[in-house]
Amino acid sequence: MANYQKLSINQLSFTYQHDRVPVLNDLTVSVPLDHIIGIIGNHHAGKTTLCRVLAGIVPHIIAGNLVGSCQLGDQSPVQDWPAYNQQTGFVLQDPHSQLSGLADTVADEIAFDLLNHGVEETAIQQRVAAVAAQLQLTAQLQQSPDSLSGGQLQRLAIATAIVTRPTVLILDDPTSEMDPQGRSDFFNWLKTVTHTTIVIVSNEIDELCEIADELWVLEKGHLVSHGTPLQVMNHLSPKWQVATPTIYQLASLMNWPLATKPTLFPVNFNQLRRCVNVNHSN
Amino acid sequence: MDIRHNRLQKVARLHWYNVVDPVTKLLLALFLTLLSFQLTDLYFEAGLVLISLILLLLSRLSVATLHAVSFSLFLIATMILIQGLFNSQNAHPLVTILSITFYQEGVLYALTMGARILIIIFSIGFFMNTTTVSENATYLESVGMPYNQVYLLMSVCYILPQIQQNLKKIQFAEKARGINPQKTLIQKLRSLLPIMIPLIIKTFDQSINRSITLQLRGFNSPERTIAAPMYHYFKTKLSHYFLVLMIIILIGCKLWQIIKNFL
Repeated sequence: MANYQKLSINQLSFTYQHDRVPVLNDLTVSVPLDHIIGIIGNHHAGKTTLCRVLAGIVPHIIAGNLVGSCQLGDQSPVQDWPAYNQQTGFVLQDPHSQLSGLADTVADEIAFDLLNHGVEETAIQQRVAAVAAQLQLTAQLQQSPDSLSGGQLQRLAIATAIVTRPTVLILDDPTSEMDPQGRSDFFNWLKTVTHTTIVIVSNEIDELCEIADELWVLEKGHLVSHGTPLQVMNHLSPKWQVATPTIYQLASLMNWPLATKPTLFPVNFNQLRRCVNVNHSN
Repeated sequence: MDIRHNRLQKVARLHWYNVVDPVTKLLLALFLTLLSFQLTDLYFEAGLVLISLILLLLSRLSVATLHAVSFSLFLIATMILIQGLFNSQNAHPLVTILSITFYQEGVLYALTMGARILIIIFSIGFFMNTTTVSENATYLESVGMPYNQVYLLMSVCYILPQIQQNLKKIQFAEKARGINPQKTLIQKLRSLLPIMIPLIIKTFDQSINRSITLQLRGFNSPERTIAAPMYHYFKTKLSHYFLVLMIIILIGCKLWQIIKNFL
């Protein structure tokens, strides 16, 4: 029986049209809703394709052979895409492509999704102002989207995805063009998002280990590892070529294992703080 | 504060051309172009060039338009040179410079063609400089054009600027690496050839991504609210009917001239 409180992927495989090699291969995983899921992996691991499947782009817009099932709560991106799409926010890898091109100002660009959802003008005004404030775009609201920097453009892309208040937010490398401060602000903001299932592809492994409830490691289309950041980072295979967080490297160099699980090293600040406290008290 | 429709800002920015709707501007450009092809008298052509030039000068002049005008002036000068010397109808000498004779027929022909090119550039420049893609999209949708046709039209409008943008990026990267100095016209043209295919593929890819984005963002949603036009346009229907009528008359005249030749 389907579990309506989970994101469930069952024996999922996908091959693009005119391709022979599957990009995703027999993926099976399930995670409770409203969690933050980080997807990591090397190049051509299938991260973007998995995001496309979760968003329903595959197979609705990009054709291919999809086998298996994908269920988010009581909805499926494959079976009832228009309804599912209304509940989903998606941020593309390239923020330029995220823009409609049909808006003169940042405010109009953010409002575009709301107009498409039939939201009233007064509500649009309020929501645009709120989202712009959340993503530090208030000063840019009257500017043309073309005049924004790479980092601001990525924040605008995120703003367009969250303004409809989606219950599922899929972010494909949303911080690649942000400066360190912008990146830090973004991940801090992501931590505050509630009642939303967030799937994020990122190479910022330190930040992912701070915020993610679950990490999925993809390798050539296979899901080779999944679990909490602590479990995944402590059982990485060198052949997956996945970077480890700085805290994990420091703790393993200093030999500061977790007090509760001596075989594991910390991967985030809270875990490290506890280790250091234990080591100091000893 | 009205963050999307900042009225105060709009009033401050409102120009005379903002009360002319995009379709009227486009029809006007078409009308002036057809009229220039209908007329053969050089004085009338000069008058039309003047009218379209005034339209352009009274609008916002962009660098792109100035580039287009300077390039067309270069083309016209080349045409005058070639036609003045080698036109098959050349009979009456007009002027002789350093023992090279330019003929009246060829120069007149080149001037007429040049005037038509300028009329097209000026009137299209007026349309391009005084409207934005979003204004066109909003207006077309508000007059009942289906969203998918609006999107198709806007995508076509985006292809050239997008190619230009991508080309600039690639050329800038090449210059930064010292691959191609691109100082002369020949060097610039030569540098274009190897990047043409990747350039087109990249632009095509971006167009596909934009189409995906629009679908994800609910552009085809049945609940979609049609945005109100940005400005209050003046007598839109009257100007449309008048210009369409004039265009039909001009096309009719041209067709009649062609038919008359066969009778």
